[in-house]
Amino acid sequence: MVSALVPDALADPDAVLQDLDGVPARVTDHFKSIFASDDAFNEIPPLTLDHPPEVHKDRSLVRFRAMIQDTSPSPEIYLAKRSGGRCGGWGLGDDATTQADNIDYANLKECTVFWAVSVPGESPWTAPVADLPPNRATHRPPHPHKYPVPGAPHVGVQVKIYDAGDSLRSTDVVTFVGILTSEPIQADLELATPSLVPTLHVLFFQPVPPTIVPRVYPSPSATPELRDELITWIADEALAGDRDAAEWVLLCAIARVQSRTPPILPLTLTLSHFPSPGAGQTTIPALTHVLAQIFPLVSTLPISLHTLNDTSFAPESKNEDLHSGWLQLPAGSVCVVTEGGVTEGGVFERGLANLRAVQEAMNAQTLEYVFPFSRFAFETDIAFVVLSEGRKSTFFQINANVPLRPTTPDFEFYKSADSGVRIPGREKLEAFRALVGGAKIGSVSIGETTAEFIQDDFVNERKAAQGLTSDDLIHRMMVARLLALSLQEKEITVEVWEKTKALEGRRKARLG
Amino acid sequence: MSSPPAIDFPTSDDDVEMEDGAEHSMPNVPPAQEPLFLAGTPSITGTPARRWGSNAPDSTPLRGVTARRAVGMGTPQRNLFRSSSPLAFPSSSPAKTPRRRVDIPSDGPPDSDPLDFPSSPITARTPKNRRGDIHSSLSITPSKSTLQPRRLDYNSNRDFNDLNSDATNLDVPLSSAPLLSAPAAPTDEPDEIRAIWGTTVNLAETMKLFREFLKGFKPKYRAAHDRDLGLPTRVFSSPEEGEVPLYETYLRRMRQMGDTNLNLDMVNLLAYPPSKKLHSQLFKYPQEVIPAMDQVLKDLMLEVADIDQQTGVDGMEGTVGDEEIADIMGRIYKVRPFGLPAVNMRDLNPTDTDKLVCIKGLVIRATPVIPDMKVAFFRCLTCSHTVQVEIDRGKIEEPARCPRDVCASVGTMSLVHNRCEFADRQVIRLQETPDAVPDGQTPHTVSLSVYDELVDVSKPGDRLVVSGIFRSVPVRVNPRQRTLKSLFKTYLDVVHVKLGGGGALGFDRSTRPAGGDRLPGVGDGGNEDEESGVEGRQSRKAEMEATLRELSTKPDIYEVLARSLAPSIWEMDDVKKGILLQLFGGTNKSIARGGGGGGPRYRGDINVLLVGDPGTSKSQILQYVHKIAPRGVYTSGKGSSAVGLTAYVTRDPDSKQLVLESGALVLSDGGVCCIDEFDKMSDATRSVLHEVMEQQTVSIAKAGIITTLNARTSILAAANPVGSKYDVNLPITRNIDLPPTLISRFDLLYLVLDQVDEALDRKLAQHLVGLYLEDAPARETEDILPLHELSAYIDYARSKIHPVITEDAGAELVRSYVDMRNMGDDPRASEKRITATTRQLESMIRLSEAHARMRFSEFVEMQDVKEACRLMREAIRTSAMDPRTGKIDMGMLNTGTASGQRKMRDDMRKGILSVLEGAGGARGIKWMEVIKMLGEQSSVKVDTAEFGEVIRSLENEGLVKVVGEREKRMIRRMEG
Repeated sequence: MVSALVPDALADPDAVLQDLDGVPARVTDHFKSIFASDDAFNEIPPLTLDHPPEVHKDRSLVRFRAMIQDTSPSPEIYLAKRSGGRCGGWGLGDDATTQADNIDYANLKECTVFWAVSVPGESPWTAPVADLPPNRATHRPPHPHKYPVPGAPHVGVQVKIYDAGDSLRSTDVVTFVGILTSEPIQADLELATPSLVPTLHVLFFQPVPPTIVPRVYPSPSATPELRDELITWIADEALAGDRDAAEWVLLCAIARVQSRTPPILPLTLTLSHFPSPGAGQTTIPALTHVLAQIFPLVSTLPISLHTLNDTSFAPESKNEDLHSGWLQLPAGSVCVVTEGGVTEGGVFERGLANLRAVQEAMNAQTLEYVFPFSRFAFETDIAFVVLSEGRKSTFFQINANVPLRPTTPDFEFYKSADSGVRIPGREKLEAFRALVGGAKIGSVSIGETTAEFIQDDFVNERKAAQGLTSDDLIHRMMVARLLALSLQEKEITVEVWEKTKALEGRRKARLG
Repeated sequence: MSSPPAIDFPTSDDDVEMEDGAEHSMPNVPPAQEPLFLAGTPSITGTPARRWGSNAPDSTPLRGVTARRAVGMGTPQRNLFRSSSPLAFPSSSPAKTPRRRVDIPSDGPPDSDPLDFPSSPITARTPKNRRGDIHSSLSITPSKSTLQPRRLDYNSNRDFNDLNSDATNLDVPLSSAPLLSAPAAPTDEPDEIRAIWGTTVNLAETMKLFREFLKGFKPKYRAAHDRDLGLPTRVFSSPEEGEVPLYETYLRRMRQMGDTNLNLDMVNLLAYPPSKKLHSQLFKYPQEVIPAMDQVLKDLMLEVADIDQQTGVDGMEGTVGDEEIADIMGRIYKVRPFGLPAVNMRDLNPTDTDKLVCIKGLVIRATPVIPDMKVAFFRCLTCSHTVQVEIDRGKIEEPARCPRDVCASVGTMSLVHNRCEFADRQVIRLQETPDAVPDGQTPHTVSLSVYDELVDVSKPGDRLVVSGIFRSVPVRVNPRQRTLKSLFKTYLDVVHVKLGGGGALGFDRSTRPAGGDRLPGVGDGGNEDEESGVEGRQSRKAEMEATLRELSTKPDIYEVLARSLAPSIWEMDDVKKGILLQLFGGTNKSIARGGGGGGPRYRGDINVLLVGDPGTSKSQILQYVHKIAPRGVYTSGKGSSAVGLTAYVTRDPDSKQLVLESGALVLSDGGVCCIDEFDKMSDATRSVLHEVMEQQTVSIAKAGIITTLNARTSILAAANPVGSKYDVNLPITRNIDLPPTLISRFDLLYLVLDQVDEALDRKLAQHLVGLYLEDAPARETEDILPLHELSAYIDYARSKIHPVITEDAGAELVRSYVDMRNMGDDPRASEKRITATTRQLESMIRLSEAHARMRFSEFVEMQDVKEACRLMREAIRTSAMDPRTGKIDMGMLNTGTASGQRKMRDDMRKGILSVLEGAGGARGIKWMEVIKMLGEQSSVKVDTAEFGEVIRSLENEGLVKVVGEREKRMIRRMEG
């Protein structure tokens, strides 16, 4: 009996829905229980770029791991009971009332309408398992302006949530399970020929952790040796063998927002003296590909006069449609900002607003969405690594500047994704991923003695040398915490502190 | 056949019959007369006024008159009418067609119509209330039993009297007869007709209550109500003031001003004990209750006018009064209720459908005025039969076939545009205001439909408080299929709009044309400033004002406000106080006499400069000020900045690095400009600031036009010292890389230094370690004002308080100034130090004024001057102290050199000349060599920069000559 539920629901979700009474919470519970087991859940066909909306049958059941892009559409009001007491909503009821007069307003209910897009910067290895053969040839997203990366292939879907949709926020990453169909978007409803967009009537949804794949801290497979291997691999594949730079990249990439009040935000990093791409070369640095192998969410923000002046970094509402911007990224993203493409020229108002948006995201981890006559700050949690050709970033104030010291001559810093990056063995790669994933969610504390030690250290150093400020102490503590996380320690020890100071010392030496 | 045609419904006969005994003045029953009019009808007669008689028993004075007028006309006519109605009312006639008034002033009797075309009974859907905001879908049909009309319909009688009605007018009462009858399909609704459909609310009673309310409400009730709720109440200047029948005053004013809108504060309904029930009725069934209220309003308007005419009130005598009354008859009166607590627009849900709601928001878009068809006029192409169809819930249903049985051709009804009736309508998109949006959510938007007088009242960018009826209407997803999907769109039919709700600053009235957007209507809250007295109603603004006033009387208000400024930053009390006074600002003064445009202006804006070590939270202070300051602009000297700037990426010629160079600085008139990294600002931008800071103007030369714009901006700037760290052994001008002329334009200059102190450092380290590594952030709870309150306080003070300097304060200012100037006097020293200049005196005046403003005092008193002087002294002490002498020297800021330094330069100059006089002076001595030799002679270390300055001045005087470049420079003594 139970076994038949899954295929039934997959084959004809409408029929299952018809049998329910249309109370949203009950629908959610029913479908959730059907697909409670991982096996059953994995049987639901995924909606991805490899399986775009076109390959799915109308009104078939799909799952869609997506980032919520726009929560501003007004909720939709639908008739929850159609004639004959049948259940309404979920796109049912094309046959509905023609007679406007006998609507029982008590039967009206609200559903939340969002726009959701495939998760920007999602690494390919996190893709949901599916039996279907990939088929990506035909998909053209209907509202390309609603994806952070202009012109990038993605799936964008109108999502209608009938139960507890209020809890979701912009840039949340969620797996939706629902019925896929095509409907006009709300704004178009009354146009003579509304264009249809893929629409997902959500039966239930599940939150996705910031690591996409669930992780534990400390990661059982992590050892100091593994960490060393990881750093070496990053250094060799992306940074011409510079292990210190690789360690800084690792520390920066596992950083996250620790607290908002007081603000304990991720460290930002500049790799200075990073060569610009030569003519004809791809502008995506190998570092992006290397990070994408181990981190689940990695995006590149290529800064050039074109991207600055002609694209939006922050989402902006135009004609009541929230257009996306480069920085509309889910929490836990690593954003590699490349300044290599910048040439001489004018930066105009929009460009400056864009630069300010990046700086604001770095300094405060907030991103201001632009609405008519108002701006709304949204919290972000993005780790920034800036690659700059000069001595320091041209545009941004950054916490840590690490001048790159290549040890491999003639290193290719820019490669395409599928060539040139040596991938370690599958097992090793999994261990790397578990290590950084754990570090991304872990937490460390500090013991009484270490705290005492750090305080004494600070007072003494200040006595000895001019110029050490409280900001320096804060910076050091942030690094120490990240170092402890990368070592999978539960507590910051004196040893970690000393290592931090050594690392900082080497960095300062490079700057001098 | 003709005229009185279809009006009657056979089924309604009994009703009418019953009515016959009484007069026919049944109000609010759907008048079916409109349909009567045939093509030739000059105008539709359905006079709104006649529709509902006021049935209140206390309307006696007029009763006799009205009765006289109407009796005899009505009944026979009605009978005639009824009998003559040949067309059975089709049962298909909408059960729900509500009847509101028919508001077209009748200038022609209905039966004067050419009778050529039979009009169809289906048109019993006569035009409803012309009010666009209310499309009642239900009929207001008090049954005759509850609504025994005890008198003739006063309105209708009056109406046709005034119109000098001839016999044709006889039908007028007739036409109202159908009103008495049940709604279109009486069979369907046997009992509800006496009440709002589906409820127990009795409309007759509602109307009676409202009538009593309008006649009986007095300000004292509101005062008592507010007292019960613990709200602040206004004290009446005399007991009589509380006893004025408030709404009668309003009605008279409406008549005098020709206004037809009465703004009704719903709280007053609650406050008046007998009408309490009305409040919830109005809230739940606005589309039935509001028209009923409109009717009562009109009745009372007439009644009051009549009384006034009889008592011979000025302007209402005799024929003038008659005309006035005729005018009133022809008008549509609207009650515009407001005063419900505003709900968040995202909390509106389907259960609010058709209820009165109140929301706040920001107008983001408004359509142009849309002619909104209220009544469609159809004519049958075959038989020329005409039909009028009223809008019903935003839609007009096109008759599919000719309603005339004889004709009944399908699809022949065509719309005759110039016979349709239109009203103004505008669709507004209202977005949630930032303060109403839950954290982390995007703002929601709702559509508003505004009608008639409310059209074009608000513009994009305005904040509104809107009362309206929440609507949900089905959406036709596929227009081709003509089927409805089970989807609905929602919007608000607005009944009342108030501008400028919420937000500490409201909107800038100066941006509006004078008197350009007075909201229509008379009554509560219409014009808060002047009318609050009459109404006895404390507006929110007044409440805010009271709170602020109360705050200002706190003895420690100065401290509280200073603390509230950037509460996250420890200590730095004087800096915060200085910035606080900057936010309040002094008063701008201009000398009235003098040439040109009235002589020079003296700025009231206070400029503040913070100089200090990195990591001393200067930027945080700036950011905070930017948040509270009106029209704040935040910019960083380095370039990436707020709005309106451009910049340029260039390759630095020296380092070959790409750098971002900032462009022009945009300043806002009347705002505070926060400039971070002031020292890194380009010289070009800085030169603009010179002008801004003293003259308060910006000169622009662009496209052949040279113009000067006002830029009354205060500047709050932060700069870092030249080295990474402030060198306490050097004067401030040497520590900051800024021209002294610019520095001197700051009223207050604070040094924010990071001092090494073991105990303090330990405390700090402890705090930080706890903060950053232990995940247990402790928060202090101090007595501070929230940001919006602080902002409101400052805004209020800036706009309302303009302190004047008292004599005492003036004397004190003089004394302080003299004292300050004397501070540099040292009888032992021969040179004169400058401790204060007139610039400092001006600063002192501004600061005193700001301090008085902060206290909400209209006068600058001693205490203000004292505090201003204290702040000045503190700032001077830290910034103008000559590190060499420990004395204060404003000359350092004004000219860049302290007197001690000037003395030292003189010494150095002598030294150099003597060195050069010696060996090889004429041939030239190497630069470094001179410094070395000088160092050997002198007891103090030779400062290379000072040395350079002295050499340069010597070179200018022609005493020495420098040849060569950089390291190889030679100094040669010129022969004088």
